[in-house]
Amino acid sequence: MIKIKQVLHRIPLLIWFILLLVIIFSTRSSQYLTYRNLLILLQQGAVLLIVASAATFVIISGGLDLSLGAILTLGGIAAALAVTAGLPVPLVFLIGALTGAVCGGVNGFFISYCNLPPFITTLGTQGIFYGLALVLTNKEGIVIYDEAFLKIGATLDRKIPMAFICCLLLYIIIIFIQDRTRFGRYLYAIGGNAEGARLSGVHTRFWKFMIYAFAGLITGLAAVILTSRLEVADPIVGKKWEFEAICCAILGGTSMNIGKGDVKGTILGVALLTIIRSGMNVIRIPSIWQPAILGTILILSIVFEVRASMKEEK
Amino acid sequence: MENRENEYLVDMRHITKVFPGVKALDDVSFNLKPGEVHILMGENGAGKSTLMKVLAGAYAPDGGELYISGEKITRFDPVFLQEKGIGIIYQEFNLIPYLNVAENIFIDHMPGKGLLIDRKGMHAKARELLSDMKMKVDTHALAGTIPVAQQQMVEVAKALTHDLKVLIMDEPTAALSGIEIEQLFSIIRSLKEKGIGIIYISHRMQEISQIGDRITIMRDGQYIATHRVEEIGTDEIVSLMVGRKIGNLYQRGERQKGDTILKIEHLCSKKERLQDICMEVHRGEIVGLSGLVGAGRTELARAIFHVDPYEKGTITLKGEEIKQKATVREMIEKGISLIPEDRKRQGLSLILSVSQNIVMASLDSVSSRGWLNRHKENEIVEQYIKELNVSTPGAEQKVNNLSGGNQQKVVLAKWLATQAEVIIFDEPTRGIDVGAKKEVYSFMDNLAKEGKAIIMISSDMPEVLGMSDRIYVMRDRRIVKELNASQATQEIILSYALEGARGEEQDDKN
Repeated sequence: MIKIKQVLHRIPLLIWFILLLVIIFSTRSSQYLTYRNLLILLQQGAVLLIVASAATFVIISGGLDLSLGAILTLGGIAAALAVTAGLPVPLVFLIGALTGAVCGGVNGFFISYCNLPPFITTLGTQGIFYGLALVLTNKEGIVIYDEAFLKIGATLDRKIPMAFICCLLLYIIIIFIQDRTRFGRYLYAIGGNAEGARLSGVHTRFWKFMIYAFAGLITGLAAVILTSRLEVADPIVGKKWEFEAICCAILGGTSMNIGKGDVKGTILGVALLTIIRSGMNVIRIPSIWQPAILGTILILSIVFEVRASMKEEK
Repeated sequence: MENRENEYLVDMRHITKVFPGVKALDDVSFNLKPGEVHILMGENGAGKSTLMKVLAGAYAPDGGELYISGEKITRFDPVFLQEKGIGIIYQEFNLIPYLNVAENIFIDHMPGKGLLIDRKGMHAKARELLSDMKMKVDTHALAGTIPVAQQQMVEVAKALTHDLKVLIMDEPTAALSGIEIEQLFSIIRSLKEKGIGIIYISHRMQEISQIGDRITIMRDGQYIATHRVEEIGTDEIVSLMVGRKIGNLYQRGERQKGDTILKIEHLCSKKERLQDICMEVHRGEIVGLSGLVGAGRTELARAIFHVDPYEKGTITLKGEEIKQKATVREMIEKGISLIPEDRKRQGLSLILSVSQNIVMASLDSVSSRGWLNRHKENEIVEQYIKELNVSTPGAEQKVNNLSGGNQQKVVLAKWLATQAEVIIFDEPTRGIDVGAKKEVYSFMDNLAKEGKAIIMISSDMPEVLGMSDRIYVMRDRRIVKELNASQATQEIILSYALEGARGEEQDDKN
């Protein structure tokens, strides 16, 4: 009996909350808890999972990246241009990843080598990346017709979507990078105590740069998948993504200022957000109200999460 | 009951405090008379800080009674106890770096009318307070920019703005050098004259007789004994603290002085103002680096380790000249370690685990092509936990949850794991208890016996004298004297460390 209690105690609060929401939504609509709807949820959450992982990495290292949404946009446009130019799918992924890595690298360069604060740097580059997106597309979305490319993001009846499989694979790789590589260790070392890391022979500047570049790179990959799903590269598609990504990271237990966090927790944040968003449609909340309600719920959940983790530390 | 209400400023009777799983205080009694300095001693984790936090109202006790000037206290709330005259200066200072001195002193009750602060009045009052303490501090200077010693004086002044009856000082001299300690002591004496009682927590034996009237010793959350200072000797204090005879604190085995491993010639640095530093270190010896705080010892260590740049001079390690542009990583690879003085800020990442901290500086040896070898990592971590006798529930424990002594052992493990041959210890025993100190000393001695070269920066004179084979004394960013351990005494070292002492050339041969 005691053992069961202990196990129950160890399950994060967030999971109970998610279960509660699922129960509420499914009692409101018989359509909610169906296999089909689940597949849609997976597909919606998949891309966010990757962008949120990028945000988690940056936050663990003690930084912040507000330009992730803009990188997502720009990466998507680069991919779309590549597809329209007739390049094969693997090359499209490469171009998306490179675009993201370059954008992230720009952030990393200013933050690490010029000592600018991450907040102001990424707020600034956010504007630049969106600006470039407008220039590249001339304000029009790039519609994609290439069948081979669209397969990745296609919604297939009764089958687990490709987009989800791709993102899940990428997510597992990211977990491995966090837990099993030197890069992962340096991430925590820099976030926990950058000066201590420097005195331990860690090239903190270089690795800090790499963290932003890496966050950009995986966001670029996510952008390719997103573009395939939407069948269009839109110059403002990324708006609000950085906010949601950061929320997911924090909901997953990553802390804003002390090098604490785990990309494995981020998936819970993503699950919560995806479920709330789809649930709002199920219970027929008018779409103009949805952003305000979503924002409120996220902020409140974060308050909850932060208080819970503060208690744990005491 | 006899009339003892007025005799004691503070009377704590049978205080018990329980935290989940630990009895932090177990039936502890403690009292303080007006105008007395009562020293509180005990190893880390003995319960000193918890007891003081009860007195300052940060914790409510689970049992026992607290009287202040005879009045029974039932409300445990920091603001309330501050009003009752209890002031506390924590080990980590609580000044706000970007406010000026006067603003810090009056932080919780700035004088003025309505919303406006009476700045002139505030600065005048602050100056008055400080000059009462015979301190020359510019009240307009930002608190973060003044020296540590002055910051501490500002803390004292801050406590004095309240109607102070009792001042608790937690290791006030930990960051101070000789002269600064003297200044602090004279302030303490003037507080005594005003009838203020002082509770003084310290790990430094020599301060007990200098400043203390009575001493209370605690161990494992329990009250052990109270004595008048003149009635009790150092050995007895130590054995009461650790509950066993500790024997000779400083370890000195048969060390074999070998060939020169590190040679520094005419090193100068613009940024840290190091001037023409020449020194050499042999295998199998411990070289003490003595001097006042600010003499340039830490700066020299950082230059040798290439954390900070130097412009002139050469560093030769194992016969190979090191490039000026070498990085810290390269220095580690070549076999130098620097164990920094501030373990919380520079030595450790408190939020990470014991294991992550230990391998932090030697990830190269536990990984290939960027991927970590968990098996190898665990092996190394377990080896050092055992070798250094780190008491931790497990390798995955966060370092934050360990005691100071065990944290320091983790720092040592981290630097030993790099397989260094020259190890620079910067204040290796600051803020750790006697038991752990002894372990650190025997560890350093063993390293020297194995043929490693050790440079030890220390402000603790008995430690320098007890451990070193040779001693370099620094003053004003240069080395002013080299002494053999046999010819060194506390007085000789101090006379070179202080300005205007005897000329350097006069007595080269003693």
